[in-house]
Amino acid sequence: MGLKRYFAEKICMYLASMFTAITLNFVIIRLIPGNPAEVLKELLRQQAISVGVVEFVEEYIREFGLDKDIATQFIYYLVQLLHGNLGVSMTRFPVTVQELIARHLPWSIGLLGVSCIISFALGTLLGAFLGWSRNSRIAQGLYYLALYLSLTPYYLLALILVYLFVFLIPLFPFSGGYSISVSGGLNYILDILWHSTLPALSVVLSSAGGWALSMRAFMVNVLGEDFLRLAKAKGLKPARIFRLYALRNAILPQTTGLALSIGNIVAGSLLVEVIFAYPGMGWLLFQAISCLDYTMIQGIFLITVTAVLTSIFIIELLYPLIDPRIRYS
Amino acid sequence: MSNPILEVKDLRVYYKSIWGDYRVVDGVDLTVNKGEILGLAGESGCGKSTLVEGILRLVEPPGFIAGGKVIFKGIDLLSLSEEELRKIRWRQIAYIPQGSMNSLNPVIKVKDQMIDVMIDHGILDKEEAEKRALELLEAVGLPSETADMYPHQLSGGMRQRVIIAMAMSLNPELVVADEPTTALDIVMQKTVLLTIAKLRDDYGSSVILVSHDMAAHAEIADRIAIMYAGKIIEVGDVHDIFKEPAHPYTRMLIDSIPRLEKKILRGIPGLAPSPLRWPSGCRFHSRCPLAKKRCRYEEPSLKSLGAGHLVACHLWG
Repeated sequence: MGLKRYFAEKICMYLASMFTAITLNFVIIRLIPGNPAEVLKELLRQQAISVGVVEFVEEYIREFGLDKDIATQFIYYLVQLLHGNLGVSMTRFPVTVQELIARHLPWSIGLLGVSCIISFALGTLLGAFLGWSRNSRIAQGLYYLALYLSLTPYYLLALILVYLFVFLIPLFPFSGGYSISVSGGLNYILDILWHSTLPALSVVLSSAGGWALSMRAFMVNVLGEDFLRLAKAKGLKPARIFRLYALRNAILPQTTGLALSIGNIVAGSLLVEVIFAYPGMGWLLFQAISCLDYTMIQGIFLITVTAVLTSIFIIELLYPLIDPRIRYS
Repeated sequence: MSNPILEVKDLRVYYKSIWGDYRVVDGVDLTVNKGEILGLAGESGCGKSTLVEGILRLVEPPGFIAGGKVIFKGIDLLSLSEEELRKIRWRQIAYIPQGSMNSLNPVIKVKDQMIDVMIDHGILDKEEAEKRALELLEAVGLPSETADMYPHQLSGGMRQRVIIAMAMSLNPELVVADEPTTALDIVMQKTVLLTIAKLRDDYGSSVILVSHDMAAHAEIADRIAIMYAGKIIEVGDVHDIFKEPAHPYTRMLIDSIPRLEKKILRGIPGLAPSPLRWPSGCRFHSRCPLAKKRCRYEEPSLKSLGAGHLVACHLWG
């Protein structure tokens, strides 16, 4: 009874947020100076094509409905969405947005999914240690390391890694997601891992620092709680106090952060993917924005918003399981 | 008769600050005898809770133990390693904290928080411990369903009694209860006090009962120690002290207990002094109606008035 209402309320809220995001996104990209037709004209001129350009561009504008006013375009877009249709890419037509996303999404999920989980696990454990033994020398030293890492932009880290391990010591490939010459079986998988090492490392290093800092703060808060003092007075073994009293409570707010970053995985990591020419969603978005590919940008944002909202929803469903104080109500 | 289980000798607990050390507990001598309930009274800020933290070695930075001894059954607790102390904690010295409201882990069931302490001290296996937990809950008058609840599902009084049940779990020889009745309604206060008295009666534990509430001490304490400005200023049998308080501060403290027949409530004028700079001489002299010149520069030490009654006041020679 209460549960049904809980779900209904949540779903309504998510639909509302999604509609807002879609609308804003639709409007904002159209505020960028220029439009896809001009980009197309420029492209044709660069390729020294002069015959039939005017007719072609006119056809293009009609085909994508760019001659209609923005409200009509928006309604058309919504109707298409309701049919589960994200449209045709404006620069890579006749390929659809769905196809392009399906092609690039696995790369981002593979790269960022793995590095997100690794950095969360590493950072959270490090932060728990930093908070637990916050008065020790080692913890204070590591605290500054974490602070430094979290403040270093991940693309800067990526550039440093490229300099160190591509140019100085050529251990890893400079760019791409795989070698064209390798195909099939184990070699192919190893090749993919080899290509993803540096981009993954730059994401892991920078976000682990942030996870460590937030976990440390939650940990220090919990350590000041009355129940921790009682746990100590009870003479419990330090390992139990650490795990069940401190860590168990400090990790609750940390999981909310995890939900958000899991959702962001599908958006790809734009700068890292651009630096390494990694064929993920960030790379796709970068190309779409530089060509003002409206339908493509809209598609990527829609997927991202859906993923973020879905992961928040899942975490909210799981929350009562990890925190007994929270109920479905 | 006197058979001390705990002797506190010249204990000092200070807090570091940029203005200097706050000398919150500043040389306390105190003895707790086997099987007695020792009341520790005094107004807010006199150092009662910090004294308890010092005895239990729970002082956290910026606080630190600046000196003294806490001798429990012949061993100085302050000289033990963390692991040695851990084994004594709860098994021999249990603690009922002031902030009982938040003293239970919010994400663990009541039952499991009672069991973990029995297991970590290697007393019982899980099954026995669970049985014992249920018995203990019954002993403090809580229904057995409490065991499977989480702390937030319990009222303040129930939580307090869960902790008392926990304190009984290993038959400790000493129980330190820090303001166990604060923040409870008057009916629950009485229940909790009687439960603590039962600890002593049924299990033979000694109890240190910290409370600013003189009525609570009158109810269950055997002896009472009055603390003022980081020191003990009077100790003695609870009847003697209520009948004939020797220290002017103790007298005023007793006079401030609300009574039905009294129309006007009398407080103690003036403010508690700051631990950063205690007053010279007798620390109470600025608020004492009987202060003499000598009180201003000479600090009185505890003197015996006979029958275990000690007082630190120049009025008594």
